[in-house]
Amino acid sequence: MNHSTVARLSRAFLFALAWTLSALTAAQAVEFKTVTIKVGYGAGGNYDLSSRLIARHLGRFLPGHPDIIVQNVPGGGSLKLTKMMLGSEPADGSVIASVSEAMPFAPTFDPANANFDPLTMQWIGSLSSEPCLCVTTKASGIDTVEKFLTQEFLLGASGKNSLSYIAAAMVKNGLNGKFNIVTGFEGSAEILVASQRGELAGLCALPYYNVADKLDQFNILGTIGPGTVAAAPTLPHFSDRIKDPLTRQAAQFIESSRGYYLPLMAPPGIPRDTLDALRKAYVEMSKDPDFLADAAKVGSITVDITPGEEISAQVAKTLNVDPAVFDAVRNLLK
Amino acid sequence: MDLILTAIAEMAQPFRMLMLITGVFAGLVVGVVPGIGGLFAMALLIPMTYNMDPYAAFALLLGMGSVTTTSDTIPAILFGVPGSVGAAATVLDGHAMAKKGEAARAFGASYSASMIGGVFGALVLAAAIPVMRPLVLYLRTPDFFAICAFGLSIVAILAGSQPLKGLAAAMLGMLASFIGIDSIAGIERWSYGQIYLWDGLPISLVFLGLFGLPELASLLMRGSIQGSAERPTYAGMWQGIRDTLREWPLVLRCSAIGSLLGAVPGIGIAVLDWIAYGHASRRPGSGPKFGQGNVRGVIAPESANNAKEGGSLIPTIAFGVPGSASMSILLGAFVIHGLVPGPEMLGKNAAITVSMVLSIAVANIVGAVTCLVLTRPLARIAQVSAAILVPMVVTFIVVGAYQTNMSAFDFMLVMLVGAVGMAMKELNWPRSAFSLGFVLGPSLENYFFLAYQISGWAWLKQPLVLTLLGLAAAGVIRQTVSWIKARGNAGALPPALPDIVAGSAVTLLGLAALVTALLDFPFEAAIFPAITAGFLVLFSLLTTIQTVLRWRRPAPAAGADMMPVGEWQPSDGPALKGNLTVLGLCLALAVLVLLAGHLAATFVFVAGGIWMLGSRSPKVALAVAAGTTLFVYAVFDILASQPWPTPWLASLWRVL
Repeated sequence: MNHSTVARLSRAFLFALAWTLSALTAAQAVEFKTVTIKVGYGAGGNYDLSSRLIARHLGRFLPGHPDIIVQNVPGGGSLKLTKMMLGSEPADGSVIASVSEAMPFAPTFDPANANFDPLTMQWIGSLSSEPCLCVTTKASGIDTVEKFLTQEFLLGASGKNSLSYIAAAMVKNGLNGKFNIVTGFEGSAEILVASQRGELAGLCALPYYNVADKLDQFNILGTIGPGTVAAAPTLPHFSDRIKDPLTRQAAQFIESSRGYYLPLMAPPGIPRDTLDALRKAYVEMSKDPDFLADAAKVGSITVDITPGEEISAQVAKTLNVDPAVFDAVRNLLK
Repeated sequence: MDLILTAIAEMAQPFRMLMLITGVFAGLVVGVVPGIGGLFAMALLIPMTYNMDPYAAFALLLGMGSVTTTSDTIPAILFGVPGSVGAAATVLDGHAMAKKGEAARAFGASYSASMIGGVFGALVLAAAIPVMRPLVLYLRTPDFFAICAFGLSIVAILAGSQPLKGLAAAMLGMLASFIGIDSIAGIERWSYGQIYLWDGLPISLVFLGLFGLPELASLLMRGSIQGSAERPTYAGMWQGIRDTLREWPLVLRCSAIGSLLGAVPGIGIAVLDWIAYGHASRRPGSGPKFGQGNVRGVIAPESANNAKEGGSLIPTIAFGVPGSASMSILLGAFVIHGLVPGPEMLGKNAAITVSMVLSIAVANIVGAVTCLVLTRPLARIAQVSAAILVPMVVTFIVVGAYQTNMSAFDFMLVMLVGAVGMAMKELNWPRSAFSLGFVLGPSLENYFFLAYQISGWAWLKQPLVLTLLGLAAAGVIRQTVSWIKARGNAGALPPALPDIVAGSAVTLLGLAALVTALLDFPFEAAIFPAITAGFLVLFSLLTTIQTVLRWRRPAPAAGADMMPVGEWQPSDGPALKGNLTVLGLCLALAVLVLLAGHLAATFVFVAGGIWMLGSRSPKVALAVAAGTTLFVYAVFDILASQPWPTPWLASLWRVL
């Protein structure tokens, strides 16, 4: 065997190896085996329910028709899972995550804990888009926006990182409200009961469906987030009332994420075609009659999806502002 | 009446009954295996109910949720390993009974108490239907704080023969519960940037380590669970059932404790079974001392934790406020089936509410009867050689721990808590007081701040708050008086030198916690940890001084004290060896799981473990290893299908 034969053979071997590898990677990119949706919250809430709903359907629209498993990874209002997705989870489409839509702005709200680049988050799509509401009990007597902003009373909220606190603090600080915010409740159901007991006047960040059956007991005062509530399109929008342009811009920054509620994301290094396959499947799923029928059963979620590309664009646009807005955002959330 | 008949007719349909029975059997399996709780199983079952009607769906879910607390006593009694957090109190006397050859009696007592408790809870739920909403609205946030404070005062009863240690253990437990991101200021407390710790120490891991691992060491040293060669019989089981029936006032009182406290958010089974246990231990009756195999110590927590299911449904149905963690998952099922918690559940959908009552009652009866039938074969396990049992049980603890977060930290934590539990067991620091502090700490802190934010200090004047805090204070004072009276004749005591070392270590830990809390945390996040750490330093310092004085006393008395008595062994003897062996086994399995995955690791570990611990026949070792691996596969891969991390060896292979 002379040198040229060896060289030829080794070239052929290298070529075959390269071909096999590329064929393998190409096959991996379009074929899904098992996909895990990790949920950044405990079981039972909307993030968990919507993920389990998607897990039943998304596989039908993905190449390879993979099984989809749901796993709860609660912690820090999904900050823990976001950090895991940006750091340690495999970026091959086998793991996607349901995290809070506010996560891309966590580095702005809380730079000490959320030290990551939000633009590296890869969005697959979001399920819903609806502003949330500030409500008070009829018994509290707070039935107009004027009273809401000028009288002293208590609103309930979960932790300081929760939407219920962020929304209430934005209204209070943006419009010089006189109310105080009680933090530490488990969730909105607890706050509603405490309101019915008369311990609190109400809360912010409630979706419309949570109060739709209780309109005889609660006043709806206004909305937070882009767009309008389909069932009550004339409700006032709090951030519109903020006079100072910088503060108003900060409020719009905070509420922008309500436009893509219940999103799914993938890790930063995910191959382009894998991400595209996931995004395409997500959009197809959202039009599927079986999926919509199942979604209708989960009464708390109105399907109104935002495709992943659009979420990425919106996030980038929101973050691309004068740094003064970031300071104004932090002031609003104090 | 019509409503009840309608509900019975709806439930009698074959498919719905089948779902109920399916749920019961799933729940029994989930309860037996440590590490998988009803919580996790319920999250898995919910998607399966999408295409069912609400009756069938809730039959399946409640059937499962109702009986995990019936079967979780099986590992608790046999191995001292609680099958779920609700069985921790049963370990103390149930396992002690098994050691004395009374496993069948303990089973009989526990299942019958579970059944009566479960049916009682269902009846409480039924009785509450008309008055549910006003009842839930009557309790205000400060009342919840007072209930938790009352629960914590039970620590005084659980504190045992060295009360200062009991109080210190409770403070240590509370301090451990504050690790993680606090819910008031949103800052990290003692988690030092570790994402793993943000949500605090996982309660199931803490209970597995604290109660499970220390018992395995004594099992290893004894050679089998039951010392004598007496064959278990059904007679023992009937005796247990008669015990429960004889103790009916206790059963009813503890069922009431379980169902009423079960309705209070923040008071889970991990709290109320200790409260029931503490309540029972105040009147030990004619049997042996509590902790040494008193049947009342089994009956009380078992009736309470099964009664809880009915109680915790009350706020869930009435307002959508989950009465327990698994209820928050059940709320998801409400949404899926178009049910809105609130007045509708008591009006338009009242038949479904009644069917839930029936499901809980029937599930408890079916679950208990199934377990009773299995009593004799199960009780025979008490005679199997420890060389076979210990590797199997270690497997379930370690694999069960790993599936909590699928992180190597799970292994480290369960072994660390296990080591702490072993030290506590050897040196008479009551683990019960630690666990009560651990589960109540966060609720106490949270309800206190809520009450304070809502009404300043004015809430202290509310009548129910005054009553409950008064009762708590009275209980503590009464207990203190009895300690003072009993001073000087505490009976057998653990060896002095290791006790001094442990006491000093805890004092230093408390001091470090106190200093870091005051320096690093903002005021509202620091106040509870600082007060807890302050008390911890005080109690542990006092107990250390006491021990030092005892150590320096004239030689004869000290010599008598140094004798190994009761459950305490001098730590330089076989206890240390047994404990180190168990920890070594855990470490070996943990490394194997990380290297080769949970299935291959189970096989190699069980076969190797049995061989190493001195089994005669390699055939037995291989057969048991194969059986254990199959069971692990069935439970952790088929029943609870979930993604396991890629083992190191497999990823290495992939890279090559």
